Amino acid sequence: MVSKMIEVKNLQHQFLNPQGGYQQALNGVSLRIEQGEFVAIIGHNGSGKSTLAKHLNVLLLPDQGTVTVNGMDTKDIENLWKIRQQVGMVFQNPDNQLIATTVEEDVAFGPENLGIEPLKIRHLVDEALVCVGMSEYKKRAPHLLSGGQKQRVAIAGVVAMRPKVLVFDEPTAMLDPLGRKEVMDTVVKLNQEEGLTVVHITHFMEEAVLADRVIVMENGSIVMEGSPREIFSQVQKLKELCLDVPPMMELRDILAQDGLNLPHDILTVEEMVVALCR
Amino acid sequence: MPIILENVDYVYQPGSPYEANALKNINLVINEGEFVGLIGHTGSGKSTLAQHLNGLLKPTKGRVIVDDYEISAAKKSKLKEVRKKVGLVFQYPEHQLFEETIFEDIAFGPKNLGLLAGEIEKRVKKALHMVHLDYDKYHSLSPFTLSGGEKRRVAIAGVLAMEPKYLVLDEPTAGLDPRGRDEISAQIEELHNQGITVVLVSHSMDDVARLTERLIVMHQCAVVFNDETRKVFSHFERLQEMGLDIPTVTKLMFRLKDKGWSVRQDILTVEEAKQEILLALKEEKHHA
Repeated sequence: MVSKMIEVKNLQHQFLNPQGGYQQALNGVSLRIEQGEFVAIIGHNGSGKSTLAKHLNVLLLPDQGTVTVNGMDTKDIENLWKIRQQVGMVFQNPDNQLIATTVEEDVAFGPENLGIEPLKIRHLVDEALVCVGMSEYKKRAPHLLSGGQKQRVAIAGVVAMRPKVLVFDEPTAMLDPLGRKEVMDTVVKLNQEEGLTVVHITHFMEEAVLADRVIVMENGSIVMEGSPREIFSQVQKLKELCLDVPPMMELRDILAQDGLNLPHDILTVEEMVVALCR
Repeated sequence: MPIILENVDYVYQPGSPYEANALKNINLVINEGEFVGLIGHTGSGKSTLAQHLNGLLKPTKGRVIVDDYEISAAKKSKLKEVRKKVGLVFQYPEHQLFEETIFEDIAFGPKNLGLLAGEIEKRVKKALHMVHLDYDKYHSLSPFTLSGGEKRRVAIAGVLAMEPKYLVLDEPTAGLDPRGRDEISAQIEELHNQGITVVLVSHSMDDVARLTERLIVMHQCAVVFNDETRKVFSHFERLQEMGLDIPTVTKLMFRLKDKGWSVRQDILTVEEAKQEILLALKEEKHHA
């Protein structure tokens, strides 16, 4: 049975801009995310993606509208720490998120702040490090790890809080291709094996393709929403929004213009090979 | 005149417990007017190599020659002259913005060359124009009020104001959104068309496939391939062994070939792939 984990209703948020005026960052966004769902959010810088994400664990509060997490209204101050424990966030820059001198101490920081007893913390930390595949590095110094490893430690730090939802704000933007793959493998694993609800903000379309549902934002509003296949087959619309189109979809489009009869939602090289070899 | 690297070795922290070889016997020529890509896995030595091109690092062995100037461990080099010729844009160059206004930030380099105020202003105007930022609108703003893509363009303008002949960019589009990335790529292409020699360090195979004429591949501190971009990507298996990818359309051509299609494999763009697929289908019909 699907049950709702996050509900955003008519969310509006304004920022003060450097010129002294107000800028509408979110323009009445409504959204429902089910428990265990993997949702990717794409869109330009300034489209409101991160502002939306920051509402999910009460880093920001709505100017208008409501955000409910697991039945709790974020505006109710009583819920603040409960929501923050249930919704973990991982940001872009790995170096800004690691604070301790060893990996395991870093991962323990969150549970320690929840006032959990030491023996239980040991258990939570070990388990979280297994989840992200970093157990053998637990005694290492975080600053000597690769970018992908650092991000996995940051994820473990959040996982050790035993959250229900993970919000990733461009976690792979500063990584090389190998690091990006390590992090995405971890994200998918946490969603599929641990059943965590995932909200993943990214500029990489090949990452958005992994999600159950893709949301496209522009100018503070949701402009497209659907399965990766539904979204990425709308080549023209994506181009109008200056977003990337998966290369196979683009090729499919221009082959179709030349009269080739191909399915309209080819995402991967393998699918293209199958379609062409029919 | 080209940039020449002759038998270049580089060792980090020699004689210490952290001693590490970063470049091994590099021999390369970067000719005037070229657009060269430099790819390799993290730790392959590509950034170390990039930092040799303007004398930020000096070779432990061998020498780098930039036009008339030689950089080597033994010789006292005219690094100031070298840096006028070779502009280096680091990864995340916007982290290096520091002045109160965009004008001052871009003027910092030219000021250090001891240029007169009039010449400095001329250069700042020209550099902003080259990165498509309006001088009147932007010069008096703080660089810290800009968007990520704009900040990066200001940082690049700071290097362009030195009027370099060669421009070395280390992952200039990393971390930008698709629009920001396309803008920066288009501007780099334009700079190349205006006659600047470009060396582009990148992790994006689709970018280097689209932009560069020649590709240098580094692996374990050495140059493994140095050839036309098209030819380099035909070594699919070797590149994969090194943890590198190839452009998506090139991959498709390899897979079609596996399936018995007679298609070329040195395909780099979606448009080329279309032509090749249509041609193959036509031939098939002809034979049938």
